[in-house]
Amino acid sequence: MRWIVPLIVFVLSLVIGHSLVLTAIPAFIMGKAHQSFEKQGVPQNAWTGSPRQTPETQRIVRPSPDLAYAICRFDTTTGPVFITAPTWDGYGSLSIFNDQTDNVFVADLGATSGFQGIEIRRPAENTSAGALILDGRGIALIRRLAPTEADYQRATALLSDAVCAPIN
Amino acid sequence: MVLRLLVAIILGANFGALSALWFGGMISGGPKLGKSIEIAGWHGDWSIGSESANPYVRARVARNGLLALRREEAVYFIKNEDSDGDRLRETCTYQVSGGTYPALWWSITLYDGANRLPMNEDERLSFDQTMAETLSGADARSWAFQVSPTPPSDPNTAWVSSKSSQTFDLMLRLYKPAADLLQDPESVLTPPTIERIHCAEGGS
Repeated sequence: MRWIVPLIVFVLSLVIGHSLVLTAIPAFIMGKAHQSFEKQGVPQNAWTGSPRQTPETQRIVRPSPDLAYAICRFDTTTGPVFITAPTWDGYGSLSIFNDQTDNVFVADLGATSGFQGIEIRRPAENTSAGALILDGRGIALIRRLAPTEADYQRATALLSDAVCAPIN
Repeated sequence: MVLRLLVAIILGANFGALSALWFGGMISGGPKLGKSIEIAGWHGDWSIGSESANPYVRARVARNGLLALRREEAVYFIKNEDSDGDRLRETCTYQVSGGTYPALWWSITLYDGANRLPMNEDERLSFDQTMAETLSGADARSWAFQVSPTPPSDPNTAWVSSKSSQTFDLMLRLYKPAADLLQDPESVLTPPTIERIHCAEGGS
């Protein structure tokens, strides 16, 4: 009988500890990713093209050497953000991830997609129809299929027309 | 009594945290979870990138597939064993062969046990549809490449380097997969085969 209360406390502690750690893992890993990108000189609110993925340049797990990547770290805490990227004739996509690692938005960057861009706002600021709601930090990622050096150079050149910036 | 309660709290919280780390794949791989698909030993998890994934799957995806695409954009299959069920390793030479896949474009990339591109300078990290079309014609109905730590003796043989990988896996990426593949992958996809050719002495 004297062990029943400690046993109940043990089980409760186990469940609480399990739940807290499990739900914290995605945010922890995303926080580490933000830190890592920041250390590598990836600025906030600007697109940064990654070098071609090689063993020496890889920044994320399982990078694809077939793709040209560009990344933008953003934060809606200080105001809404507008993100866009040019379409092209190959496979391409623009993905947005929240701080829980969820892929909350993806746009096709193929030539016929007609993608014009996306506004990202905090829940309290949702005054724009079609805006993506995201509270706090996020990561936008452009992927373009560029298996050759020539494709990679062409994909990199398109970054000058891409936007990832606060809306004034 | 207070001491017992304190010990119960400490032990419970620690076991809870450790079990969460294991289920989340942070400790020694963890269990298989999510919308797991297996086709001839190639494993896919179509929960990747999904907001609706349960907390266990989300934790594992964060650990092993951070910033991965939704399945409508790309699906991934991983295999770490040869056709005899033995672990893929650097000390052996393999032939990987296959055909066409219902997607816009595909590639097969080699990753080491830490989910990274292996640290070598061979510049032979992957094989893809474009290479297959070069080898076997525009429809790429039948192709093969070698996986080994050193280049093949025949310079015309396509090669992916396993140098410095120790144990590794191959990842098949299918970009813009066809709708029928997403609906019924087991019926639609015939994944590549991985045959062990030989192993270096001591690496049987």
